[in-house]
Amino acid sequence: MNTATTHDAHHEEHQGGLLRWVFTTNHKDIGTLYLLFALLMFIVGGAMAMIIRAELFQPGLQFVDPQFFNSMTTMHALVMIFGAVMPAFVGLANWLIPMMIGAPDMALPRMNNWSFWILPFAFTMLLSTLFMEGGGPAGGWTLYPPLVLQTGNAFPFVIFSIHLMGISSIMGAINVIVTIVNMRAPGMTLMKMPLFVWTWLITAYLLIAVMPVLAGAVTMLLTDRFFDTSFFNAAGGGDPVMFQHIFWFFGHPEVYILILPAFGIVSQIIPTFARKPLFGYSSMVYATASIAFLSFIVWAHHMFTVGMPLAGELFFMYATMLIAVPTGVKVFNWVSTMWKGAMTFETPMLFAVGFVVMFTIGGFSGLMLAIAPVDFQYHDTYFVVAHFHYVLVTGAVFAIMGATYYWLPKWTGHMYDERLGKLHFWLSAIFVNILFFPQHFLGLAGMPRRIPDYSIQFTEFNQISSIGGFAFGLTQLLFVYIVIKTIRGGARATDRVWEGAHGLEWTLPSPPPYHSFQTAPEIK
Amino acid sequence: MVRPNCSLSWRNALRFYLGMITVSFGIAAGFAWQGAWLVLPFAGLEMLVLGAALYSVGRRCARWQLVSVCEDAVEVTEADAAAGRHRFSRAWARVELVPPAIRGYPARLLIRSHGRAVEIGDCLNEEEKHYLARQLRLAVEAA
Repeated sequence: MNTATTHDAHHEEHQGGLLRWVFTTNHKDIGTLYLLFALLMFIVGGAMAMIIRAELFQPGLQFVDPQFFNSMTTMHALVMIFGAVMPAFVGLANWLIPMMIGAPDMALPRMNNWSFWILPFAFTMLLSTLFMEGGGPAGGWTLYPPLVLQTGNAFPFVIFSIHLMGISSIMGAINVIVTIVNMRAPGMTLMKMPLFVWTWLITAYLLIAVMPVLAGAVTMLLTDRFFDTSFFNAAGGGDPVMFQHIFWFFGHPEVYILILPAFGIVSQIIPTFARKPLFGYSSMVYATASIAFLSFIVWAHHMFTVGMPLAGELFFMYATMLIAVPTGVKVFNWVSTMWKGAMTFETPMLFAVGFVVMFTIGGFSGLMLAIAPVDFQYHDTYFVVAHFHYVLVTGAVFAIMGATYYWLPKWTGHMYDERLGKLHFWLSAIFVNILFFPQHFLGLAGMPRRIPDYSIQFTEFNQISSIGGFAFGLTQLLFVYIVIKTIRGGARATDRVWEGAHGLEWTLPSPPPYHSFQTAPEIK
Repeated sequence: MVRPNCSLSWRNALRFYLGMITVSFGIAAGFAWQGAWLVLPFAGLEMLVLGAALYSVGRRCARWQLVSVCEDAVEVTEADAAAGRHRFSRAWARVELVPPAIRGYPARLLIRSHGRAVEIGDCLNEEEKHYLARQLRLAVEAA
């Protein structure tokens, strides 16, 4: 016996009942906790969206006052970004990365436990601000000063909760990076890693690069408010526009943090159901890295109207348009993978194809927004809202749902109800378009975002959008039902689950043992 | 010799870490130059945690155990200086594979004698532990 082929299996004390979930250091348990937390936050954030759409069903003020409406738009974004989409991806990373690279667990299991358990406290604190004097934060998730400095008693709690979310994200990212670089099974070279692992490695790198920027930015807001500094106070020699630069230097890579793992998921699902290897694996890796690099040099396209030199506008316009090249490579590769494949359309594949089509719509509207002179017309209108919801809902959320259907049989050992899964997809795909597509027209017609009341000419499209919103929201209850039903029982899932699935995770039993890889994996 | 798998050498870990430091402090320094110096301490803190994580995992990967079977003794030497060297009389040494108390948990491979025991190969998977246990029994009990 010369060398072993795995890291040490983690010898945590096995607790029973509820304490198991509190003290667990097992990657599968923590992955499950992240995914359930993300689902809960998706429902909370979705409820806020319902309030927004109910208020916007007709012009005038119906249900909530403008301050609360603005709180809802702000909180909806914070909850969905930091509470739903990011934790869902971290949950998927926890479940899948060790299994995909042939490791028994994450590299730092105790830190993994911490990074999850910070989140419930962070979000309890954030949501509790809605009940504080002065209400919750209402200046938008971008927290622009001086507006955000007018927040009431909630302000320091919002900043602290954002710090906690950041700490959780950084710990998660460090764990992912250290796991991938240190714990790959022998033979699992970088260019043999599944695309999901690659996209997460790059996502973790982005997180590590930009999270200190967010932490610094919100801390400077805090000191401006409570310690008489003037980082962003023009009266004291500071510059409020500087905050926008700092925020978007974090914020734009954050957008890619929210979408790169989705690219990885779709790159796993499509080859399985096209029964062909992924077309252009290397180009996919390089395209992901290129998108990550470009994400650092395009931040000011979010602030074209702030007043910047023409050279700056040109630079950020062209740099932004460049992102279409690696993204186009990806879309081309997904389509080429499907080309002449023996395609079947089970629910995960429906979500993946839906992703490719609708994310591309979001990409194209992004290209329109990249053009600086055009952006002057679209800026802060519902066109922007439509654009980023196509990217984040039909992009990131659809990918997460596709991933859930794809790996749920592996996780639970039970097949989900295919008929209900397909029904969930079609209802979601129809209603999400009824919800967001009219918002393009509203934006082009000049309806500003973040307002509770609007001119009467916008009524019809808002009503269509709201009906789509309510129906999309209700449809997601079906998703919750399908997940619970699958966890509780169902037809027995085989180890491979899908005929065309390849990868180390499919060599494990369904559900996999508490510690992965009882036998050393063989990498071909 | 029993050694855990490690897909990153110390040298590459250092290179990777220096790369991360360059990017992170480059960004923080840029903002500090523009007056937003509060990004710097957060970048520093984060790099400290990343360094500690890489060091901790790298150190765990650098562990090894050497089991030597001599004429009258079984010696287990460990890389960790604190754990040091364990010596058992070969005539009394027993190789035991203790099954896990909870299903799904790993078994423990022990060399035991006179109330003392040392665990061998906690980094191995079950199949390898069984193989090593067989080999050790053959070697120890061959006298």
